[in-house]
Amino acid sequence: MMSVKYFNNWIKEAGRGHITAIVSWISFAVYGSLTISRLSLDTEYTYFGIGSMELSRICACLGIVIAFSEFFYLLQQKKQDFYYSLPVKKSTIFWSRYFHGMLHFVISLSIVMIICSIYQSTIDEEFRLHAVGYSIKSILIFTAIFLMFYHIAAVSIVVCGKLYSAVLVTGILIFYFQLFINGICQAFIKSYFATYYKIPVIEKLNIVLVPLSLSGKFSGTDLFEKEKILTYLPNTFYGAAVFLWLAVPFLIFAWANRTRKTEATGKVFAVPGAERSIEFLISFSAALWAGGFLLEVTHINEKSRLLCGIIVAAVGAITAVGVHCLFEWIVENTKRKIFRRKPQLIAEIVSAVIGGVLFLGYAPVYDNFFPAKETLKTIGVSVNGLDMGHSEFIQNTNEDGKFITDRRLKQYTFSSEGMEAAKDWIQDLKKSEDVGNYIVKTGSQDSYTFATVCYHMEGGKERYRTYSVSRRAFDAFSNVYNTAEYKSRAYPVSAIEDVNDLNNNGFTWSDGISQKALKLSDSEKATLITKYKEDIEDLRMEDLKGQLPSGEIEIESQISGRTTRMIIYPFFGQTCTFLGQHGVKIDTGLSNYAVESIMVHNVLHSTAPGTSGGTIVQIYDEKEDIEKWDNRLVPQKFDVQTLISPLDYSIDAEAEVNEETTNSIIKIDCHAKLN
Amino acid sequence: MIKINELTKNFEDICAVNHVSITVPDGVMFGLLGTNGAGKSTLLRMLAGILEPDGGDIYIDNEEDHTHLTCKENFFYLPDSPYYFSNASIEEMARFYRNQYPQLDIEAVHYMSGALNLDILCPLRTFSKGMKRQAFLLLALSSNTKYLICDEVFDGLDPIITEVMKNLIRQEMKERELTVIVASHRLRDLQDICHNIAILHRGGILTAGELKGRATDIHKIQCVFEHVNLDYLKNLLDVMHCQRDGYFTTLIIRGGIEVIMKGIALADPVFSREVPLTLEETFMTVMEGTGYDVSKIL
Repeated sequence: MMSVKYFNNWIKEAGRGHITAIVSWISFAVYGSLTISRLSLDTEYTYFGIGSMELSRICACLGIVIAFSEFFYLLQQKKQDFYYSLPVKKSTIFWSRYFHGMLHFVISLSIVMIICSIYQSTIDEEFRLHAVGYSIKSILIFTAIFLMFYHIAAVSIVVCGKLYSAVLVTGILIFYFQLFINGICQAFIKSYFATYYKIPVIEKLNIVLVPLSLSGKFSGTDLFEKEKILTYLPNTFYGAAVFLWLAVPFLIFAWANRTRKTEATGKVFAVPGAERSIEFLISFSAALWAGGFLLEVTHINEKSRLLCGIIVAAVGAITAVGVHCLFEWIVENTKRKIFRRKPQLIAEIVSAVIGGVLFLGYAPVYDNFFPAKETLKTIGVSVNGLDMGHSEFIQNTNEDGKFITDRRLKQYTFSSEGMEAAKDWIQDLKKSEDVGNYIVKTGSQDSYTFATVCYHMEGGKERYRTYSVSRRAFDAFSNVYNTAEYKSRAYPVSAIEDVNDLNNNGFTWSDGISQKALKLSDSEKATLITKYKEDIEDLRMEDLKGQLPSGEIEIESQISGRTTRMIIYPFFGQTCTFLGQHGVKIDTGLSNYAVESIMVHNVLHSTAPGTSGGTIVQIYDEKEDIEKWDNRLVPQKFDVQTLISPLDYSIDAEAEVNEETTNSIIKIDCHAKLN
Repeated sequence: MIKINELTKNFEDICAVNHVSITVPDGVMFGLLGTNGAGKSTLLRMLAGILEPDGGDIYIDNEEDHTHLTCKENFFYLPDSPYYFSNASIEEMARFYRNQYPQLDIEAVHYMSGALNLDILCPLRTFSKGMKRQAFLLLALSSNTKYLICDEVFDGLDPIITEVMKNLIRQEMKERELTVIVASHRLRDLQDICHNIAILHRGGILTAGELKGRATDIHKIQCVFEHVNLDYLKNLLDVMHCQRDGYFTTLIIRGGIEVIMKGIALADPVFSREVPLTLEETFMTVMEGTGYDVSKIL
């Protein structure tokens, strides 16, 4: 049995180059200094441990750098001969280096965490309560992140015989799944699945299979509230994923190090199994990527599904063969036989073809999905452009607007009458639009907007779909809109059951130009809310056509500081009468204010080839000119129904209004009403 | 004693060492001779425990597992280009080796370094090739291991340094029962120092053992003739090699010495005497008929 002293001697020996020590201690010294200086300025949004993206990235980088520093001898023939000729076991050299790298990291990290913790405790009372727990959790979590990358790099070095191949394999292990999911699977999904919005399983895989994303998620970098960060405990699911990223590479390199032959140093791959696996992964994914790329570039999927399948399969097969041969040439097999692994080559081709065709075959199943009644728990619906201003509509129409849809899907989640109405509407929509047809998504003339639906299934699963919505279908959405459940989501104040809850809240009237605090007693507030609820109850989607809000009441919670909007339309008879009785002028607009000037940006779009668009800016400060405009302009704040009550969005105006009560100039951003 | 039995090593489809069997007695200097790629280094690396054999056995002092730590403590492997830590001096390397070979004599390192004019504190990277070889040889000898495995240690060195190193080895062998296995691709490097030589060719062994012992019926005769008739001599005796240099004719002849001398006497020489064969000549004669291109290792 190996003595502890003997092993310790080799741990000391592992530190001969001091590279690990230098890299580790300097990194943490710099990180600690910078964090302490940031903590001295702000303790609310500065986190030295959990919640720190910088620390997460430092740990990832150190994992890779330290692994290369410690196990670099496995890539050096001369050094390896030197070590292995000595009276020492190969495993002793390997594991002493493993522990040496880990020890330097853990010690330096722990010291920095303790110093930062002590410092923050002296200046931050709230932190003091959580100091010990937060510091210990931080040390454990970031050690796990370090080990994840340490093991990834270690396994890459052990299975490779050259530096460049070890670096490449490390890169492959870190980025492969990210590229595979986002670059390959998503390309197929977007091309084939007409109703695709997102697939939660793929979103989760995109985190758990991507070490960088997983380390961010695991270390709480997606949290922003201090309380949550200080009391953070990692999610079990992500914890299990981190454990697998630690354990699987560990087991592989522990096994590979035992079977690795000394003479393999200098070859591209030192372990034949690794060579085959990497060859398979690269050939398979390159073949799929080529098919996906062809789809994106040529849009052949819009013409014929069969033709598309044949072309994707053919391109995939050709690419698999090409990449396989290239790989064989790169790994320099001594026999120089490019087709030496025929069964593997066939497996690569078959996998690539099946992969491409699977997407194609699954597309109708995906697009025609509609949950059975007993499996559906709730349903979330977001119709793009409904209860939405123009700028939000444009943003949501583009790819980067997913967060808007996600927010709205949470807001507009129905479980009773709203759900039933929404289900009927979606089924009508599916029948009329034939969602299995590719043409739907890519621009049928009839397409008006789109609706995103989230089916919340019994058991917690979520299924998302996006449907194209025609003008007729949009109007038919009134069946959903007019339900009390929908209105309670769109007009949250109407859902308040106990109006006494609002007693201490502040009520402020705004006509889009100026604000006025409403002096209402508790009973008056209750009356106002009751009347508003009655108006909302009577509201129909059809009533909104061509209507703009007269103003809004902002209810600010004295406890949470949150603001709730009550949009007031002129046809809200009871609410308007009540407000009129309490001194609010409902029908005021810019013309009721002393407008000093109006700057109008007229955006001209290119209408024909050879012409270019542009913006004409005009400033009006003459009374006659201002009078022409102030009746046309509507504060952008009241652009709340871009599809039902659209404005002229080619005109952006800025009105300078002299606010007499405060004797100040205020600037109001406006759009023009349609002529 | 080192006993190598049917040792085999393949690098993919290349057979580097092919069923080699050698026995190295204790206290001798054993030479491994062969051209580049003959399998000498592979054989030594297997012996040193760096490479794992694909077949065959290595017994060190009858110990089956020659990679066992107690067994490896008896070995010092000296490659053709020894590895040293960056900026390390002889002193630092000696301290490192001391941790691996507890019997290493630091004082001997100091003494030998002084004798060879090597600065013990100077970084090894600043040393010339010959100085590095000397430094590592003295470290190897000071480690007091029973076996020393050297790979091409004399290659590319000038004759003076080569002689110094050989003397160091000789001296150490004289003082204790050190067994040295040395590989070279030049016969001249080994002929004056090795007791036994094995010749490796394409992974296989052509011959091994005490070569001089095998050449007992081969004799080298130096003669001076007034009128030499070589055809007569060749018909009369089994002349293997004949060389004329001025008055002198040197003959290598197979057969009993008495028969040879009588035969030469019939040719009426002015002068004749037997001179000892060099290892090179012995080697050439032993190798005759094997088809091996001897000029490659001369």
